[in-house]
Amino acid sequence: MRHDRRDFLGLGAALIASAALSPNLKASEHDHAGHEGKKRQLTLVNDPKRVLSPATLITPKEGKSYNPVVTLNGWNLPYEMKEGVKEFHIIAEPVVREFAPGMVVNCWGYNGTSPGPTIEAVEGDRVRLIVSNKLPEHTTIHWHGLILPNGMDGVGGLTQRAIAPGETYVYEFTLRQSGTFMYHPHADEMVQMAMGCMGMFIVHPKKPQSHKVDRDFCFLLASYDVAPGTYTPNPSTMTEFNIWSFNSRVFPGIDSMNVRVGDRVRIRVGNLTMTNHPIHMHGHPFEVTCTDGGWVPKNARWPEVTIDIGVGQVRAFEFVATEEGDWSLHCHKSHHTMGPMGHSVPNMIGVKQDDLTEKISDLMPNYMYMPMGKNGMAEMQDMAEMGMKLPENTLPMMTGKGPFGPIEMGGMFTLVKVRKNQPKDDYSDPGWYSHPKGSIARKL
Amino acid sequence: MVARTVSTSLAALFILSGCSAISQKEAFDSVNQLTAEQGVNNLQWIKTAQEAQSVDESVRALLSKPLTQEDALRIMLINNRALQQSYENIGIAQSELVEAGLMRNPLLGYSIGRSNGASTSTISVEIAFLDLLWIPLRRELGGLALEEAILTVGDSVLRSARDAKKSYIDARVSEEKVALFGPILKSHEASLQLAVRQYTAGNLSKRDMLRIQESYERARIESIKLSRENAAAREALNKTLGLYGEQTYYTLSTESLKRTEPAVTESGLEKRAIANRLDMRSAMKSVDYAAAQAGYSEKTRFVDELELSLESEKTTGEKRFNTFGIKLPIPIFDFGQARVSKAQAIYNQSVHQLYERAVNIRSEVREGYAHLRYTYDIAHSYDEVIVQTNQQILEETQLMYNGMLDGIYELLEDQRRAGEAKMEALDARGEVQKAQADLEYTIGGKL
Ligand SMILES: [Cu+2]
Repeated sequence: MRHDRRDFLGLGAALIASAALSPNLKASEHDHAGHEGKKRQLTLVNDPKRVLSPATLITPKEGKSYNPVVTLNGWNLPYEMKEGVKEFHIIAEPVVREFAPGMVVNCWGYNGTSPGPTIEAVEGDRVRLIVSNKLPEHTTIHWHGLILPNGMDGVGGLTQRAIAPGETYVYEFTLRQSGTFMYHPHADEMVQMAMGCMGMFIVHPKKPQSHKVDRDFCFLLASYDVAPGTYTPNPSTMTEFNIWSFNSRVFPGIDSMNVRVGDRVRIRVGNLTMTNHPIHMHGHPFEVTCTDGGWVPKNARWPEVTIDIGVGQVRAFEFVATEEGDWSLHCHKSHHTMGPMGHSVPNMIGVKQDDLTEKISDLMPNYMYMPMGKNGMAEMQDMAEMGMKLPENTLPMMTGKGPFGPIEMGGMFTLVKVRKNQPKDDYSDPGWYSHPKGSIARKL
Repeated sequence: MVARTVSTSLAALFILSGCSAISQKEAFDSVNQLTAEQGVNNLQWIKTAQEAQSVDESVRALLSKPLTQEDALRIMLINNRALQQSYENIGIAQSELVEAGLMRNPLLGYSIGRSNGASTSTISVEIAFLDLLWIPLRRELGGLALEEAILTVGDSVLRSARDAKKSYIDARVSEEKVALFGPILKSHEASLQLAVRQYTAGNLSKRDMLRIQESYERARIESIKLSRENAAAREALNKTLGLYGEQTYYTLSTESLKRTEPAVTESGLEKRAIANRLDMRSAMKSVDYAAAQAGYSEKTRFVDELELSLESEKTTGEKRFNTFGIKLPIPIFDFGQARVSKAQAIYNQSVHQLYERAVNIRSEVREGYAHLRYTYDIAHSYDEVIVQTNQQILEETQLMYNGMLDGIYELLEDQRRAGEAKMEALDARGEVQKAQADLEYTIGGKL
């Protein structure tokens, strides 16, 4: 039996779909008709209307010895037990991913999504990973960080023949460690990762009590170069990416991580971009407890509020949610919390332009020209909200609306929402925090 | 008695030669008729002060409103002095025809001699009498020459009409290009103003600012060049229309220049050209003339001169003595063969000329058609694709500017490109109209 997202959505009972999206966004399974402009050809999928929902799907706890990880704006891959072996079916294929409402990307991924579903198992399990290649070129899968026989390492040409289009290969090994790992191609890896082929591989400890947390989140950092007005990432780009994503979603299209006061929370982040990302969380110091090398000994941990995640690294950090509120969690490179922007736009800070507005408007009578950048770029979001049009399939540089006004963010930005009354095991969005009286910064 | 006979004969000759030639007016009417067949009519031949004045008034009326191509043509036809000069060729040919119908004047002689107190006076009259035979032949030649002149004048009217149309298009296009360049220059100016401010604010290097300044100055030079072209084109039109002084303050119509698609093939056009072109028909007349000339030489090869003479001699005291004589050249040395072979050579030459002209005209038709067709395709592409695409590019850049993906300089640059595309499209449309004027002249009629 093959598993992809389409099957699960049909099987409703197996999973609880949480539409844990921010208030003005909707989970969107079939509502993409609006983006299907006549001009656009989504050539990578047979049925472009089937842009799969990027909602966060929660795997039920029942029958599991572990607390399933929550893949942000993603899902976990079910398995079947076959004579004591956990069998997973993985299909590498072109997919269409919605990065945020108003923008879809022609990606490559697994089982209908990019990133692919999270593979979840338990230390000591024997796993069989059956990989079918429906990509237009050969591929392999490398199990990043796992200890396994060399012939299962998935390096095309080195440890195996690459999986040709249409072929199916089987990987089988026993999980000898627990922790946070990743999977990704190791054949034409530059292109395939730039197109979105990646996923997380979580191995829970054999002893259910060790490293136990109340809420366990995971996501991958991925960067894309989707030029304004286009749909397909450019795999040749090395530095000038314009989409910085958590699990191939960008703010405000990223779900918040909603927890209950007192919960011990783990957030696992893997970096498959080509640069480092200092991930910063507001409101709580945390400790790094795990890397893709394994668990950090308790006496070696130290407190942090920002953890720099290098290229090809995983960091899991933990904290006890003590402080109520809506806390930002984002990459601290400020360009990585922006939507697409022109890096060669002339610097207009402090340059008077108002008196030229009429002159320039006269030259383009049908265009609402506005001078930009004199006092900064915050006006960008005002203009976007005023309905100023952007190139097709292009997100504004900064966006997102909070209870107090524009948030002026994009890219690698989301929230950790801590609430006293967030029900146990409920991941749904509690809405905006209502601040106790006298606890908000005030105007003098 | 003889004298009476002679005078009667002279009178008869006068009548014979004077009455049968067509008038200048009739000749000019046939020019008008010929050109009207090709869409150019109401020619006017200025012969008197009153006519000159009425032309002035018509010109003033036509110039009082924005000048269309049709009105420009109208003015050229009545006011172009080169054309008036060519009309006079009709006068000249017509006069020559009249002259050809006349006998050579008789020679009248009178001599007186004295000898031994007696004086002898002689009165003589000599008449080149064979003229009576040759006049119909000469009149035939003169008639052909007049017809040829009519056709040649008609051709120069059509040629001038073509040139006037083209001058008008040049003037229109150059004037509109000046106007279209306005926003482009203004856009360069805005770029420069922004660059200077950016430089002053410390946001732009001096080098980058100077680059923008340099582009602005180049645009200004371009604008001056366009004005220079416009001045030249307008003067060319003024010359063609024969305008000077206050007349030259007219405005040009702003009705947009049309672009009509030419027929898909050139078939039939060559035939039309051969049948209708007035220069072609005039060349045919030259052949007829050369043939007639050769026939004339042949007929007159032995005796082209025969003179009859009458002498009346009176000596004092004697009876008047009358003699009647004839002078005839004896073809001993000149049998006229040289004249005949010269005439034949000229005839042969004119036949070859006609042939050559026909070949050339046919080639001109094909070339003119191809030129029009390709020029049209180019203009079509400019109008339907280049202009619109540049407009779309500008709109996309506007979206990029909205998203801070592009800067103001890119926005202004694409606005200028859209403007330049319009100028190129205008040029291309002007080329179509000129190619059409050329081809219509070449085929001798409307397309
Ligand atoms: Cu970053």
